[in-house]
Amino acid sequence: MRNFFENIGSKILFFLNYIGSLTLLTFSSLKKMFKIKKKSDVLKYIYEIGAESFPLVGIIAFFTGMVLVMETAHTLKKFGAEMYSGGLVSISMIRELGPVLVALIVAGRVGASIAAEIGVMKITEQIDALRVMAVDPVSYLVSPKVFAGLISLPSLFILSFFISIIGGFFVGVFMVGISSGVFLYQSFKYIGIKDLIVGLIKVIVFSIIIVNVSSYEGLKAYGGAEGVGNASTNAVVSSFFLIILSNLIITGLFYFV
Amino acid sequence: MENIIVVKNLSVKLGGREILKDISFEIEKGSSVVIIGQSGSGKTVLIKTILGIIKSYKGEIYIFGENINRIDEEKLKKIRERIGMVFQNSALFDSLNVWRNVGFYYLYHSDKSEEEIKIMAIEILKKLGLDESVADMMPEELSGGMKKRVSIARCLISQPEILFYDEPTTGLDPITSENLTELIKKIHKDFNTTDITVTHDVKLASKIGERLILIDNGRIVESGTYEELKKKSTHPLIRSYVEIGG
Repeated sequence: MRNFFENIGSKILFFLNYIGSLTLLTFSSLKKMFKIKKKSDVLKYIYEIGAESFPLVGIIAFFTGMVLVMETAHTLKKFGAEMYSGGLVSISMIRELGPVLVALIVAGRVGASIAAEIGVMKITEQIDALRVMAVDPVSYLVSPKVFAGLISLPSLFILSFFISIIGGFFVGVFMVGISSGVFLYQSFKYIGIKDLIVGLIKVIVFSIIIVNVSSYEGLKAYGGAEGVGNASTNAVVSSFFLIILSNLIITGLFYFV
Repeated sequence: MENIIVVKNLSVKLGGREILKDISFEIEKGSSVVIIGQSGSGKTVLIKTILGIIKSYKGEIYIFGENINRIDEEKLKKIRERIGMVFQNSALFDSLNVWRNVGFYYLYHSDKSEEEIKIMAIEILKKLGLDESVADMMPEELSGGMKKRVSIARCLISQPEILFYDEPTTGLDPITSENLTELIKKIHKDFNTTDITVTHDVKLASKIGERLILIDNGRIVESGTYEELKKKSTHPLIRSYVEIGG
Protein backbone atom coordinates (compact mmCIF):
# COMPACT_ATOMS: atom_id res chain seq x y z
CA MET A 1 0.00 0.00 0.00
CA ARG A 2 2.83 2.36 0.95
CA ASN A 3 4.61 1.58 -2.31
CA PHE A 4 1.43 2.40 -4.21
CA PHE A 5 1.20 5.88 -2.64
CA GLU A 6 4.95 6.43 -3.03
CA ASN A 7 4.60 5.57 -6.69
CA ILE A 8 1.68 7.95 -7.18
CA GLY A 9 3.50 10.68 -5.23
CA SER A 10 6.68 10.36 -7.30
CA LYS A 11 4.64 10.49 -10.54
CA ILE A 12 2.88 13.68 -9.35
CA LEU A 13 6.22 15.22 -8.38
CA PHE A 14 7.69 14.27 -11.76
CA PHE A 15 4.71 15.82 -13.57
CA LEU A 16 4.89 19.04 -11.51
CA ASN A 17 8.64 19.25 -12.08
CA TYR A 18 8.11 18.70 -15.83
CA ILE A 19 5.43 21.37 -16.11
CA GLY A 20 7.44 23.80 -13.94
CA SER A 21 10.65 23.36 -15.92
CA LEU A 22 8.80 23.56 -19.23
CA THR A 23 7.03 26.76 -18.16
CA LEU A 24 10.34 28.33 -17.12
CA LEU A 25 11.92 27.38 -20.46
CA THR A 26 8.91 28.77 -22.35
CA PHE A 27 9.03 32.14 -20.58
CA SER A 28 12.78 32.30 -20.96
CA SER A 29 12.69 31.46 -24.70
CA LEU A 30 9.90 33.99 -25.35
CA LYS A 31 11.73 36.71 -23.42
CA LYS A 32 15.02 36.04 -25.21
CA MET A 33 13.25 36.01 -28.60
CA PHE A 34 13.61 39.78 -28.73
CA LYS A 35 17.38 39.61 -28.20
CA ILE A 36 18.33 37.06 -30.86
CA LYS A 37 21.87 37.86 -32.00
CA LYS A 38 21.96 35.90 -35.26
CA LYS A 39 18.85 36.93 -37.20
CA SER A 40 19.88 34.66 -40.09
CA ASP A 41 19.18 31.65 -37.84
CA VAL A 42 15.49 32.64 -37.73
CA LEU A 43 15.30 32.53 -41.55
CA LYS A 44 17.02 29.14 -41.56
CA TYR A 45 14.49 27.76 -39.07
CA ILE A 46 11.52 29.31 -40.93
CA TYR A 47 12.72 27.32 -43.92
CA GLU A 48 13.10 24.12 -41.86
CA ILE A 49 9.86 24.44 -39.86
CA GLY A 50 7.64 26.19 -42.38
CA ALA A 51 8.80 25.75 -45.98
CA GLU A 52 9.89 22.13 -45.60
CA SER A 53 6.62 21.21 -43.85
CA PHE A 54 4.49 22.89 -46.51
CA PRO A 55 4.31 20.02 -49.06
CA LEU A 56 3.11 17.55 -46.43
CA VAL A 57 0.71 20.05 -44.83
CA GLY A 58 -0.59 21.00 -48.28
CA ILE A 59 -1.26 17.43 -49.40
CA ILE A 60 -2.94 16.48 -46.11
CA ALA A 61 -5.08 19.66 -46.11
CA PHE A 62 -6.10 18.98 -49.73
CA PHE A 63 -7.13 15.40 -48.92
CA THR A 64 -8.89 16.48 -45.73
CA GLY A 65 -10.97 19.01 -47.68
CA MET A 66 -11.89 16.28 -50.19
CA VAL A 67 -12.80 13.78 -47.46
CA LEU A 68 -14.94 16.29 -45.58
CA VAL A 69 -17.06 16.93 -48.67
CA MET A 70 -17.21 13.19 -49.50
CA GLU A 71 -18.42 12.40 -45.98
CA THR A 72 -21.01 15.16 -45.75
CA ALA A 73 -22.28 15.86 -49.29
CA HIS A 74 -24.16 12.57 -49.77
CA THR A 75 -25.97 12.84 -46.43
CA LEU A 76 -26.80 16.50 -47.02
CA LYS A 77 -27.99 15.67 -50.54
CA LYS A 78 -30.84 13.61 -49.03
CA PHE A 79 -32.16 16.88 -47.58
CA GLY A 80 -31.28 18.92 -50.65
CA ALA A 81 -28.62 20.71 -48.63
CA GLU A 82 -25.41 19.49 -50.31
CA MET A 83 -24.38 23.08 -51.09
CA TYR A 84 -23.65 23.54 -47.37
CA SER A 85 -20.74 21.07 -47.49
CA GLY A 86 -18.47 23.98 -48.46
CA GLY A 87 -19.36 25.72 -45.23
CA LEU A 88 -18.68 22.54 -43.28
CA VAL A 89 -15.21 22.30 -44.75
CA SER A 90 -14.35 25.91 -43.98
CA ILE A 91 -15.76 25.94 -40.43
CA SER A 92 -14.12 22.68 -39.40
CA MET A 93 -10.80 23.63 -41.00
CA ILE A 94 -10.60 27.12 -39.53
CA ARG A 95 -11.82 26.25 -36.06
CA GLU A 96 -10.52 22.76 -35.33
CA LEU A 97 -8.97 20.59 -38.02
CA GLY A 98 -6.71 23.21 -39.58
CA PRO A 99 -4.81 24.28 -36.46
CA VAL A 100 -4.65 20.76 -35.01
CA LEU A 101 -3.63 19.09 -38.30
CA VAL A 102 -0.88 21.62 -38.95
CA ALA A 103 0.38 21.36 -35.37
CA LEU A 104 0.41 17.56 -35.35
CA ILE A 105 2.25 17.40 -38.68
CA VAL A 106 4.85 19.93 -37.55
CA ALA A 107 5.21 18.25 -34.13
CA GLY A 108 5.83 14.89 -35.78
CA ARG A 109 8.19 16.20 -38.43
CA VAL A 110 10.03 19.06 -36.75
CA GLY A 111 9.54 18.33 -33.03
CA ALA A 112 11.42 15.04 -33.23
CA SER A 113 14.22 16.66 -35.21
CA ILE A 114 14.58 19.58 -32.76
CA ALA A 115 14.75 17.14 -29.82
CA ALA A 116 17.31 14.97 -31.64
CA GLU A 117 19.47 17.94 -32.67
CA ILE A 118 19.56 19.45 -29.17
CA GLY A 119 19.80 16.00 -27.57
CA VAL A 120 22.92 15.13 -29.56
CA MET A 121 24.42 18.51 -28.65
CA LYS A 122 23.66 17.79 -24.99
CA ILE A 123 25.26 14.34 -24.84
CA THR A 124 28.32 15.40 -26.86
CA GLU A 125 28.89 18.37 -24.50
CA GLN A 126 28.22 20.96 -27.22
CA ILE A 127 25.67 22.62 -24.93
CA ASP A 128 28.31 22.83 -22.19
CA ALA A 129 30.74 24.26 -24.76
CA LEU A 130 28.19 27.00 -25.56
CA ARG A 131 27.87 27.87 -21.87
CA VAL A 132 31.64 28.01 -21.41
CA MET A 133 31.83 30.39 -24.39
CA ALA A 134 29.35 32.67 -22.59
CA VAL A 135 26.53 31.75 -24.99
CA ASP A 136 23.14 31.07 -23.46
CA PRO A 137 21.83 27.81 -25.04
CA VAL A 138 18.20 28.99 -24.78
CA SER A 139 18.97 32.23 -26.52
CA TYR A 140 21.09 30.53 -29.20
CA LEU A 141 19.14 27.32 -29.82
CA VAL A 142 15.56 27.70 -28.59
CA SER A 143 14.47 31.33 -29.07
CA PRO A 144 15.21 31.51 -32.85
CA LYS A 145 13.16 28.33 -33.32
CA VAL A 146 10.30 29.77 -31.26
CA PHE A 147 10.36 32.92 -33.40
CA ALA A 148 10.44 30.85 -36.60
CA GLY A 149 7.56 28.70 -35.31
CA LEU A 150 5.46 31.79 -34.60
CA ILE A 151 5.83 32.83 -38.23
CA SER A 152 5.70 29.37 -39.83
CA LEU A 153 2.70 27.76 -38.15
CA PRO A 154 0.19 30.60 -38.68
CA SER A 155 1.34 30.77 -42.33
CA LEU A 156 0.90 27.02 -42.75
CA PHE A 157 -2.51 27.26 -41.08
CA ILE A 158 -3.76 29.96 -43.47
CA LEU A 159 -2.41 28.08 -46.49
CA SER A 160 -3.86 24.77 -45.30
CA PHE A 161 -7.27 26.45 -44.95
CA PHE A 162 -7.33 27.61 -48.57
CA ILE A 163 -5.90 24.32 -49.85
CA SER A 164 -8.60 22.34 -48.02
CA ILE A 165 -11.26 24.54 -49.64
CA ILE A 166 -9.69 23.73 -53.03
CA GLY A 167 -9.75 20.00 -52.16
CA GLY A 168 -13.39 20.24 -51.14
CA PHE A 169 -14.16 22.28 -54.26
CA PHE A 170 -12.88 19.49 -56.51
CA VAL A 171 -15.12 16.86 -54.92
CA GLY A 172 -18.08 19.20 -54.40
CA VAL A 173 -18.11 20.70 -57.89
CA PHE A 174 -16.83 17.84 -60.09
CA MET A 175 -18.17 14.81 -58.23
CA VAL A 176 -21.23 15.96 -56.30
CA GLY A 177 -22.31 18.54 -58.85
CA ILE A 178 -22.57 21.63 -56.66
CA SER A 179 -22.20 24.81 -58.68
CA SER A 180 -18.74 26.32 -58.22
CA GLY A 181 -20.10 29.76 -57.29
CA VAL A 182 -22.43 28.29 -54.66
CA PHE A 183 -19.68 26.13 -53.18
CA LEU A 184 -17.28 29.06 -52.81
CA TYR A 185 -20.00 31.37 -51.51
CA GLN A 186 -21.03 28.80 -48.89
CA SER A 187 -17.40 28.16 -47.99
CA PHE A 188 -16.87 31.73 -46.84
CA LYS A 189 -20.39 32.60 -45.72
CA TYR A 190 -20.32 31.01 -42.27
CA ILE A 191 -16.87 31.94 -41.06
CA GLY A 192 -16.20 35.17 -39.26
CA ILE A 193 -13.20 37.12 -38.08
CA LYS A 194 -13.57 35.48 -34.65
CA ASP A 195 -13.01 32.04 -36.19
CA LEU A 196 -9.86 33.23 -37.89
CA ILE A 197 -8.54 34.86 -34.71
CA VAL A 198 -9.26 31.75 -32.60
CA GLY A 199 -7.59 29.57 -35.25
CA LEU A 200 -4.54 31.83 -35.19
CA ILE A 201 -4.45 31.86 -31.37
CA LYS A 202 -4.50 28.07 -31.46
CA VAL A 203 -1.61 27.69 -33.89
CA ILE A 204 0.42 30.30 -32.01
CA VAL A 205 -0.06 28.37 -28.75
CA PHE A 206 0.67 25.07 -30.52
CA SER A 207 3.87 26.41 -32.08
CA ILE A 208 5.12 27.57 -28.66
CA ILE A 209 4.29 24.13 -27.25
CA ILE A 210 6.01 22.19 -30.06
CA VAL A 211 9.29 24.12 -30.01
CA ASN A 212 9.59 24.36 -26.23
CA VAL A 213 8.56 20.77 -25.47
CA SER A 214 10.97 19.45 -28.13
CA SER A 215 13.81 21.69 -26.97
CA TYR A 216 13.19 20.77 -23.33
CA GLU A 217 13.30 17.05 -24.14
CA GLY A 218 16.56 17.61 -26.04
CA LEU A 219 18.10 19.66 -23.25
CA LYS A 220 17.44 16.95 -20.66
CA ALA A 221 18.58 14.06 -22.88
CA TYR A 222 21.19 11.76 -21.38
CA GLY A 223 22.73 8.35 -21.94
CA GLY A 224 23.97 8.28 -25.53
CA ALA A 225 22.07 7.30 -28.67
CA GLU A 226 19.25 5.69 -26.69
CA GLY A 227 18.78 8.93 -24.75
CA VAL A 228 18.48 10.90 -27.98
CA GLY A 229 15.92 8.41 -29.30
CA ASN A 230 13.91 8.70 -26.09
CA ALA A 231 14.07 12.50 -26.27
CA SER A 232 12.65 12.45 -29.82
CA THR A 233 9.85 10.07 -28.88
CA ASN A 234 8.97 12.02 -25.73
CA ALA A 235 9.00 15.28 -27.69
CA VAL A 236 6.40 13.98 -30.15
CA VAL A 237 4.21 12.24 -27.56
CA SER A 238 4.24 15.18 -25.12
CA SER A 239 3.64 17.71 -27.91
CA PHE A 240 0.66 15.71 -29.24
CA PHE A 241 -0.84 15.46 -25.76
CA LEU A 242 -0.36 19.16 -24.96
CA ILE A 243 -1.68 20.23 -28.39
CA ILE A 244 -4.91 18.26 -27.91
CA LEU A 245 -5.26 19.46 -24.32
CA SER A 246 -4.69 23.13 -25.17
CA ASN A 247 -7.04 22.82 -28.17
CA LEU A 248 -9.75 21.64 -25.80
CA ILE A 249 -9.09 24.54 -23.42
CA ILE A 250 -9.03 27.21 -26.15
CA THR A 251 -12.16 25.85 -27.86
CA GLY A 252 -13.90 25.72 -24.48
CA LEU A 253 -12.89 29.31 -23.68
CA PHE A 254 -14.03 30.78 -27.01
CA TYR A 255 -17.02 28.68 -28.05
CA PHE A 256 -18.40 27.03 -24.92
CA VAL A 257 -17.99 29.20 -21.82
CA MET B 1 51.35 34.93 -6.43
CA GLU B 2 47.64 35.80 -6.73
CA ASN B 3 45.10 32.97 -6.53
CA ILE B 4 42.96 32.97 -9.69
CA ILE B 5 40.67 30.12 -8.54
CA VAL B 6 39.75 29.31 -4.96
CA VAL B 7 37.55 26.33 -4.10
CA LYS B 8 36.33 26.03 -0.50
CA ASN B 9 34.58 22.99 1.02
CA LEU B 10 32.86 22.10 -2.24
CA SER B 11 30.34 19.25 -2.23
CA VAL B 12 28.25 18.15 -5.19
CA LYS B 13 25.38 15.68 -5.41
CA LEU B 14 24.12 14.21 -8.68
CA GLY B 15 21.03 12.02 -8.74
CA GLY B 16 21.07 11.88 -4.94
CA ARG B 17 24.66 10.54 -4.87
CA GLU B 18 27.47 12.63 -3.41
CA ILE B 19 30.07 12.93 -6.17
CA LEU B 20 32.37 15.54 -4.62
CA LYS B 21 33.00 15.70 -0.89
CA ASP B 22 34.42 18.74 0.85
CA ILE B 23 36.92 19.74 -1.85
CA SER B 24 39.20 22.71 -1.15
CA PHE B 25 42.17 24.03 -3.11
CA GLU B 26 43.62 27.18 -4.67
CA ILE B 27 45.15 27.73 -8.07
CA GLU B 28 47.72 30.43 -8.61
CA LYS B 29 47.67 32.69 -11.64
CA GLY B 30 49.95 31.42 -14.40
CA SER B 31 50.35 27.94 -12.94
CA SER B 32 49.57 24.57 -14.49
CA VAL B 33 47.65 22.30 -12.17
CA VAL B 34 46.58 18.75 -12.95
CA ILE B 35 43.65 17.15 -11.19
CA ILE B 36 44.33 13.46 -11.45
CA GLY B 37 42.21 10.47 -10.57
CA GLN B 38 40.74 7.26 -11.87
CA SER B 39 37.60 7.14 -13.99
CA GLY B 40 34.53 7.99 -11.94
CA SER B 41 36.49 9.79 -9.24
CA GLY B 42 34.66 13.07 -9.92
CA LYS B 43 37.28 15.01 -11.90
CA THR B 44 35.03 16.16 -14.74
CA VAL B 45 32.23 17.00 -12.33
CA LEU B 46 34.74 19.15 -10.43
CA ILE B 47 35.69 21.31 -13.43
CA LYS B 48 32.09 21.57 -14.62
CA THR B 49 31.14 22.74 -11.13
CA ILE B 50 33.95 25.30 -11.15
CA LEU B 51 32.58 26.58 -14.47
CA GLY B 52 29.05 26.80 -13.07
CA ILE B 53 27.68 24.13 -15.45
CA ILE B 54 26.88 21.84 -12.49
CA LYS B 55 25.52 23.37 -9.28
CA SER B 56 27.08 22.53 -5.92
CA TYR B 57 24.96 22.12 -2.80
CA LYS B 58 27.72 23.19 -0.44
CA GLY B 59 30.89 25.24 -0.58
CA GLU B 60 32.17 28.25 -2.47
CA ILE B 61 34.03 28.80 -5.73
CA TYR B 62 35.88 32.04 -6.44
CA ILE B 63 37.14 32.83 -9.93
CA PHE B 64 38.95 36.15 -10.45
CA GLY B 65 37.81 36.95 -6.88
CA GLU B 66 34.07 36.53 -7.67
CA ASN B 67 31.98 33.93 -5.87
CA ILE B 68 30.34 32.26 -8.87
CA ASN B 69 27.49 30.87 -6.75
CA ARG B 70 26.42 34.36 -5.76
CA ILE B 71 26.58 36.26 -9.01
CA ASP B 72 23.91 36.70 -11.66
CA GLU B 73 23.98 35.04 -15.09
CA GLU B 74 25.33 38.19 -16.80
CA LYS B 75 28.34 38.41 -14.45
CA LEU B 76 28.94 34.69 -14.86
CA LYS B 77 28.97 35.21 -18.64
CA LYS B 78 31.62 37.93 -18.24
CA ILE B 79 33.77 35.53 -16.23
CA ARG B 80 33.28 32.75 -18.78
CA GLU B 81 34.47 35.09 -21.53
CA ARG B 82 37.88 34.96 -19.81
CA ILE B 83 37.92 31.15 -19.68
CA GLY B 84 38.36 28.40 -22.26
CA MET B 85 37.68 24.70 -22.03
CA VAL B 86 38.84 21.79 -24.15
CA PHE B 87 36.28 19.03 -23.74
CA GLN B 88 37.05 15.31 -23.55
CA ASN B 89 35.41 14.59 -26.91
CA SER B 90 36.30 18.02 -28.31
CA ALA B 91 32.60 19.09 -28.39
CA LEU B 92 32.96 20.80 -31.77
CA PHE B 93 29.68 22.09 -33.20
CA ASP B 94 28.98 19.51 -35.88
CA SER B 95 26.75 21.79 -37.94
CA LEU B 96 29.60 24.32 -38.39
CA ASN B 97 32.81 23.94 -40.39
CA VAL B 98 36.21 24.22 -38.72
CA TRP B 99 36.81 27.95 -39.11
CA ARG B 100 33.30 28.76 -37.88
CA ASN B 101 33.91 26.50 -34.87
CA VAL B 102 37.19 28.25 -34.13
CA GLY B 103 35.74 31.70 -34.70
CA PHE B 104 32.46 30.96 -32.94
CA TYR B 105 33.24 33.28 -30.03
CA TYR B 106 33.64 36.28 -32.35
CA LEU B 107 30.83 35.22 -34.70
CA TYR B 108 28.48 35.33 -31.74
CA HIS B 109 29.92 38.06 -29.52
CA SER B 110 31.35 40.62 -31.94
CA ASP B 111 30.48 42.69 -34.98
CA LYS B 112 33.59 41.58 -36.87
CA SER B 113 33.00 40.49 -40.45
CA GLU B 114 33.09 36.79 -41.38
CA GLU B 115 36.21 37.41 -43.53
CA GLU B 116 38.08 38.93 -40.57
CA ILE B 117 37.06 36.07 -38.30
CA LYS B 118 38.07 33.46 -40.87
CA ILE B 119 41.54 35.05 -41.16
CA MET B 120 41.87 35.03 -37.34
CA ALA B 121 40.74 31.39 -37.21
CA ILE B 122 43.21 30.29 -39.90
CA GLU B 123 46.03 32.14 -38.14
CA ILE B 124 45.37 30.33 -34.86
CA LEU B 125 44.95 26.98 -36.63
CA LYS B 126 48.37 27.46 -38.23
CA LYS B 127 49.91 28.26 -34.82
CA LEU B 128 48.62 24.90 -33.63
CA GLY B 129 50.13 23.06 -36.56
CA LEU B 130 47.05 22.69 -38.73
CA ASP B 131 46.98 23.43 -42.42
CA GLU B 132 44.82 26.20 -43.90
CA SER B 133 42.88 23.58 -45.91
CA VAL B 134 41.39 22.27 -42.66
CA ALA B 135 39.46 25.53 -42.19
CA ASP B 136 36.64 24.61 -44.56
CA MET B 137 36.33 20.99 -43.45
CA MET B 138 33.51 19.72 -41.27
CA PRO B 139 34.31 18.26 -37.81
CA GLU B 140 33.37 14.71 -38.88
CA GLU B 141 36.14 14.82 -41.50
CA LEU B 142 38.84 15.34 -38.84
CA SER B 143 40.90 12.79 -36.91
CA GLY B 144 40.76 12.70 -33.09
CA GLY B 145 44.03 14.62 -32.74
CA MET B 146 42.93 17.28 -35.25
CA LYS B 147 39.64 17.71 -33.41
CA LYS B 148 41.54 18.34 -30.16
CA ARG B 149 43.69 20.97 -31.88
CA VAL B 150 40.63 22.66 -33.37
CA SER B 151 39.01 22.58 -29.95
CA ILE B 152 42.11 24.21 -28.44
CA ALA B 153 42.10 26.79 -31.25
CA ARG B 154 38.45 27.58 -30.46
CA CYS B 155 39.50 28.37 -26.89
CA LEU B 156 42.63 30.32 -27.73
CA ILE B 157 41.03 32.68 -30.23
CA SER B 158 39.36 34.63 -27.42
CA GLN B 159 42.68 34.85 -25.52
CA PRO B 160 41.45 33.25 -22.29
CA GLU B 161 43.27 33.72 -19.01
CA ILE B 162 42.31 30.27 -17.73
CA LEU B 163 42.28 27.08 -19.81
CA PHE B 164 40.60 23.88 -18.69
CA TYR B 165 41.48 20.59 -20.35
CA ASP B 166 39.23 17.59 -19.76
CA GLU B 167 41.13 14.34 -20.47
CA PRO B 168 43.04 15.89 -23.40
CA THR B 169 44.87 12.70 -24.42
CA THR B 170 42.03 10.21 -24.03
CA GLY B 171 41.34 8.22 -27.18
CA LEU B 172 44.52 9.34 -28.97
CA ASP B 173 47.34 7.11 -30.18
CA PRO B 174 50.69 7.41 -28.28
CA ILE B 175 52.38 9.65 -30.89
CA THR B 176 49.43 12.03 -31.20
CA SER B 177 49.13 12.01 -27.43
CA GLU B 178 52.82 12.92 -27.09
CA ASN B 179 52.47 15.74 -29.64
CA LEU B 180 49.43 17.10 -27.85
CA THR B 181 51.26 17.04 -24.52
CA GLU B 182 54.03 19.13 -26.03
CA LEU B 183 51.45 21.47 -27.57
CA ILE B 184 49.74 22.01 -24.20
CA LYS B 185 53.11 22.89 -22.66
CA LYS B 186 53.88 25.28 -25.51
CA ILE B 187 50.47 26.99 -25.26
CA HIS B 188 50.92 27.43 -21.51
CA LYS B 189 54.25 29.14 -22.12
CA ASP B 190 53.35 31.18 -25.22
CA PHE B 191 49.88 32.33 -24.18
CA ASN B 192 50.70 32.71 -20.50
CA THR B 193 47.50 30.93 -19.44
CA THR B 194 46.59 29.36 -16.13
CA ASP B 195 45.97 25.69 -16.98
CA ILE B 196 43.77 23.24 -15.12
CA THR B 197 43.86 19.76 -16.60
CA VAL B 198 41.87 16.76 -15.44
CA THR B 199 43.17 13.38 -16.48
CA HIS B 200 43.79 9.81 -15.43
CA ASP B 201 46.97 9.82 -17.54
CA VAL B 202 49.85 10.04 -15.04
CA LYS B 203 52.38 10.44 -17.85
CA LEU B 204 50.61 13.56 -19.10
CA ALA B 205 50.22 14.83 -15.53
CA SER B 206 53.93 14.36 -14.82
CA LYS B 207 54.86 16.31 -17.95
CA ILE B 208 52.54 19.30 -17.79
CA GLY B 209 51.60 19.63 -14.13
CA GLU B 210 53.52 21.99 -11.88
CA ARG B 211 51.23 20.71 -9.13
CA LEU B 212 49.09 17.58 -9.03
CA ILE B 213 45.87 17.18 -7.03
CA LEU B 214 44.92 13.53 -6.61
CA ILE B 215 41.20 12.82 -6.29
CA ASP B 216 39.72 9.53 -5.20
CA ASN B 217 36.05 8.80 -4.63
CA GLY B 218 35.18 12.51 -4.69
CA ARG B 219 37.82 13.58 -2.14
CA ILE B 220 41.27 15.12 -2.46
CA VAL B 221 43.64 12.49 -1.11
CA GLU B 222 47.05 13.94 -2.00
CA SER B 223 48.60 16.97 -3.61
CA GLY B 224 52.06 18.18 -4.57
CA THR B 225 54.53 18.10 -7.44
CA TYR B 226 54.91 14.87 -9.40
CA GLU B 227 58.29 14.26 -7.78
CA GLU B 228 56.75 14.62 -4.31
CA LEU B 229 53.88 12.26 -5.13
CA LYS B 230 56.29 9.82 -6.72
CA LYS B 231 58.11 9.57 -3.38
CA LYS B 232 55.28 9.62 -0.88
CA SER B 233 52.11 8.46 -2.66
CA THR B 234 50.74 5.01 -1.94
CA HIS B 235 47.83 5.49 -4.36
CA PRO B 236 47.67 2.71 -6.98
CA LEU B 237 47.30 5.21 -9.87
CA ILE B 238 50.66 6.82 -9.05
CA ARG B 239 52.40 3.66 -7.90
CA SER B 240 51.52 1.67 -11.02
CA TYR B 241 53.02 4.42 -13.21
CA VAL B 242 56.14 4.73 -11.03
CA GLU B 243 56.63 0.97 -11.17
CA ILE B 244 56.76 0.97 -14.96
CA GLY B 245 59.54 3.52 -14.80
CA GLY B 246 57.63 6.83 -14.86
